[in-house]
Amino acid sequence: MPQPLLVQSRYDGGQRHPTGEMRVTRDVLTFHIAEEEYGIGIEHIREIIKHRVVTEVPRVPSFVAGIIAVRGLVMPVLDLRQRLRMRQAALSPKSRILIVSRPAPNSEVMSEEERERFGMLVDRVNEVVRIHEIDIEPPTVLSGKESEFVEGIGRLRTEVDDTGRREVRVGPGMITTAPQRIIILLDLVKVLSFEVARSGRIF
Amino acid sequence: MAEQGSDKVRDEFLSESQEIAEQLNRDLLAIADVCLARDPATEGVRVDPDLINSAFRAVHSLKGLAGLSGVERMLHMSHHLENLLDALRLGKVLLSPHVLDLLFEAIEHYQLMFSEVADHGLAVASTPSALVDDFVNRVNRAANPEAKKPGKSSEPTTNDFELDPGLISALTEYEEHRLKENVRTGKNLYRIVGSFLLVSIDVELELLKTALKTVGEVIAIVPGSSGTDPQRIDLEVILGSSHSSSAIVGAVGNAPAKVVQIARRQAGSSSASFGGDVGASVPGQAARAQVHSRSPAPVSVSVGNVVESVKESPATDSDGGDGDGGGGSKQEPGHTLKSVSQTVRVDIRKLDVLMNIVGELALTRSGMQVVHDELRRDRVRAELARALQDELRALTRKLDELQAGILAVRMVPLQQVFDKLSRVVRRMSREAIGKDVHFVVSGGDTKLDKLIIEELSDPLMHLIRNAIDHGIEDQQLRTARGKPAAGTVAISAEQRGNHVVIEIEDDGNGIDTQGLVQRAIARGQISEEQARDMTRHEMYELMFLPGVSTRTVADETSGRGVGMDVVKTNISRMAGIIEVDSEPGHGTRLTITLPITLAIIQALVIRAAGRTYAIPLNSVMESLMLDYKQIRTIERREVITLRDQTLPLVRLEDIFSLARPMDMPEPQSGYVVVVALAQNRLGLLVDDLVGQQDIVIKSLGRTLQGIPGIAGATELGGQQTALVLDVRAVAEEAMPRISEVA
Repeated sequence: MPQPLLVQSRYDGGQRHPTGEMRVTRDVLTFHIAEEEYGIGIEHIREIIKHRVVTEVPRVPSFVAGIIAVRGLVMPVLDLRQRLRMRQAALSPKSRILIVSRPAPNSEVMSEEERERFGMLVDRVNEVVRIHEIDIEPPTVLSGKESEFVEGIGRLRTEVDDTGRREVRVGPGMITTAPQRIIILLDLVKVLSFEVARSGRIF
Repeated sequence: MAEQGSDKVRDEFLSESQEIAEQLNRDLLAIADVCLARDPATEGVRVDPDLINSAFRAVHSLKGLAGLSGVERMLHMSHHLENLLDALRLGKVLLSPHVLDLLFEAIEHYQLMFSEVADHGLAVASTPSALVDDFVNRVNRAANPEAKKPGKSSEPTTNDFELDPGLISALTEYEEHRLKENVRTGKNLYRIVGSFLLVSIDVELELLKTALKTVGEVIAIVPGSSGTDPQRIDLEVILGSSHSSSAIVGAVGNAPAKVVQIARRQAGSSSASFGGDVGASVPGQAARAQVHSRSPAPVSVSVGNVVESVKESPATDSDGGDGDGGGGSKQEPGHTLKSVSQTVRVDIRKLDVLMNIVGELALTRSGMQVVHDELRRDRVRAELARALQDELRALTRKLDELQAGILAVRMVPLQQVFDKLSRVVRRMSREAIGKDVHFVVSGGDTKLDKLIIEELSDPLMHLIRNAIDHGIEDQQLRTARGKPAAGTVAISAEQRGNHVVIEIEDDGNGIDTQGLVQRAIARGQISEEQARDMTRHEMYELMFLPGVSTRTVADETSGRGVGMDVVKTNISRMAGIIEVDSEPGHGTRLTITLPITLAIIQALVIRAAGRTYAIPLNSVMESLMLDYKQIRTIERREVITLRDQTLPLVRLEDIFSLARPMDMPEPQSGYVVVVALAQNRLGLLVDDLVGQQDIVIKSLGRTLQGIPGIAGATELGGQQTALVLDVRAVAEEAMPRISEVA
C-alpha cells in the first residue's frame, strides 16, 4: 500500500526558545477556505487527494457533500466551507480533499484501523508549518458562535534555524519583514461531531 | 408459518428436481437416438461419453436434492441409478436396450414421486415403496453383471503408446477408461501442453477445451511437469482424436499451448509381451496394475517445436508383466500434483495483499489517465491519446474483473454450512430414539465472507442440536399434542438491507422459561425479586448467561459443556446479533443477524434524477418500461395498472428529496422497478436501467450508517460510488399502510 505522503507528527519538547524557556511545538497542515488560513495537526491527516466525484447522500446535513471510496474504504466528505457556516463555492483545480481520521477519545488507545475516516473538502492546501504552543491563543478572543470549531489561533513568529539565522517563515520563500501570519486551528473532534437522522430499525 | 415454509421448500424442491429430471429425459432420448441409428448390437453401442456423463450428473443432482429434502425413497433410487450410470460410463456395463429401458423407467418413477410430493408433501416420499424397491433390485442386477470376457487381443491397447505411467496413474478411473476407449477405437493420442496465467486460467482453459472438442475428445487434464513461475499453472490436456496433428494445431490456434503427438510404440517391443490381455473392455485394477508396473521413466518433453513426436526409449521393462509391484508409491507425485491443480487452499491474508495491489494498480491507472489528458491537449498527438484512452479503458475493465475475482474467492455460499448441518440432523434423527426430524433448508445461496462462514458453522451446529435435542418432542408427545409426528427444524438465510439474517425455527416444545429462571437463581445470577419482574423476553436472555444452558449431564448430541453463552459470544465477535422468540408448546425461533460488510450481492444499477443507485436484485421482481402517460392517480398517489392489478408508484426523488439537475428535463418515459414487500408490491419509478452486476455492499461508516432507505454503498469502478437502496425501508416509508399489513 502506498504510504500517505505526510510524515508523522513531531513534538520536539527539547528545543530552546530565544527567551530561554522550554517550549513545545506542533506541526500543522495549513489550507485555505475563503481567504482564511486554517490548520489541522498533521497527526490527524492520512492523505490529501485531488477532488473526485462525490456521491450525494440523502437525508444528511447540507455540509455533508456525500461519500467517496478511497482504497476500498467508504467515507463521508464534509464541505468544510459549509461546515464552518460559509457560503458554498465552486470547485477549482486547486480544490483538495483532506482524508483525516477522527481523533481517538481521551484516554483511549485506538489503532489507526479503528478510527473513522472522513474527507474534508478545502479550497486549497498550503503547507506544513511548526507553531509554538505559546503562540496559540485560546478561541475566547472570538465571539461565541464563530469559535465553535476553533481550538485556538496560531501565530507564526520569528524562528531560529540550525544555522542561527533569523527568519520569518511566510509561505514559500523567506522574508525578514512581513505581517504576522494567523492560522485558525480547527478542533477536529468538534468538526467531525454531528448526527444524521437514523431509522429506529436494525436493518 | 411453519406450514408456509415447508410449502415453499416443497415447491422449490419440485421445480428444481423436475427441471433436472427433464434434462435426464433429454439425455436419455439423445442416447436412444444414437442406439437406434446404429442398430443395437449385442456388444453394446458406443455413445458420446458426454451424454452418459450428463445423465450421470443429473441423477447425482437428484440424489443430492433428495438427500437435502429428506425424500428417502428418491434418495435410495437415485443412489442405485447413479451406480448403474457410473458403471456405464466406466464401461463396466454395456449400454444394452435393457439398460436403456431401465433408465427410462426411472424417469417414470421420478415423475410418480414428484406428483405424490406435490399432492401430499415431502414426507410422503420418505417411506419405502415396494414398486421402487423392485425397480432398484433390477437396476442393481444390471449394474453388476457377471464377470465379462476379456477384450479381443487384437485390439490396440494403451501399451501401444509411449505413455508415461505416472501420467496414467494420475488419471481417475473414468479418465483411464476413456483413454482406453480412445485407444481401442484407433484414435491418435495427443498431449496439449499449456501454461496458463493464474488470473485467466478459467477462461483460457475453457476456450481451449471448446476448441479441442471440435477435433476430438478431451480425455483428461493433468498438471504439467514444470512449475517455476508462481504466476502460472502448467497443464496438459490429453486428447483422443482421429485427426492429424496439423488439424489439432489448427484447433488450438492462438491458445498458449503446444501440441505433442504421443507416438505409437514399434510393434514387437517388449510391451507386446503382455499387451494382449490389457483389453480395453477389462477396466479397473488388473489393467491399472500392469500399466503401473511399467518403467517409471518419465516422458521428457522438451517443447521447442509446435509439434513433435515424443520418443521414449522403448522397453526399459525390468519387471515384465508382474502386476502387483507397489506401483502406487512410485507414482505418488502424480497424485499430489493432480489434487493441487483442482483446488488451491489460500491463506485469506494473501487475498488481502492481492486486493491491495489491485488498489495500487488503480492508482497507477489514474496516473496514466492524467498523462492521457495531457497528451490529448496536444493536437498533434490526439491520435495517440485516443489509442491510449482505449488501452486505459481495457485496463480499467480488467482491473475491475480482477478485483471482483479476488473478492469472489472470499465469498462462499451458506449452503456449505447448511449441507454440513443436514448431515448432522440426519445422523441425529437416526440416533435419537422416538424422534423424527424433518430438516428444511432455504436461502443457501446467500453468500458470506469465508471468515464469517467458518466462524458461523459451530454456533449454527450447536443451535440446531439444541433445537432437536431440547426443542422437538418425541413422537408420542407430539401426537398427544396434536402435532405432526415428525418435528420440523427449518434454517433459512436471507439478505435484508445491509445484513444477512439467518433464522432457525423449530415447531417443538418452546423454551422452558421457568427452568431458565430457576437455574439462574440457583447459580446466583439473578435474585428472586428480579425474576418476578422479568418479561418473557428477559427470561429468554437468561439462556445466554454462562452455565445456565449447560446441562448437568452431557448426552450424545448436546450439552457437552458448550452453552448458549459461547454461541452468543461467537456471534457477537462477528458483529452479529442473536434474538430469541418462543411460544411455549409451539416452538422457538432464533434470529441471527450478521453484517454484510463483505457480502457480495447481485444488484440492479439504476439512474434516477441524475444519480446512480444499486437495488439488491433479491427484492426486485421485475422491471418494465413505462410511458408516463400511463400513470394515473388515486387519492393523489401515483399508480399504474399492471396485469389487471393496481401498482402504487414511488419516485426516488420524492422519497429522498432529490433536486433534478437543471439541464435534465422531466422525462416523458422511464422504467418501473417492481419490488416486493411481504404480500404487497411497489413500483420504483426510475429514469434508466444501467444493468445488473455483482456488488460488494460497504458500510457508510459509523457516522452515516442507518440513514433510512440506504443499506450502504458500493464501488462501481472508475472511482465512482453508488448508494445501495434498502428497498424494504423505502417501501415501508412510501406506503406506511403496507408495512402495517406486513
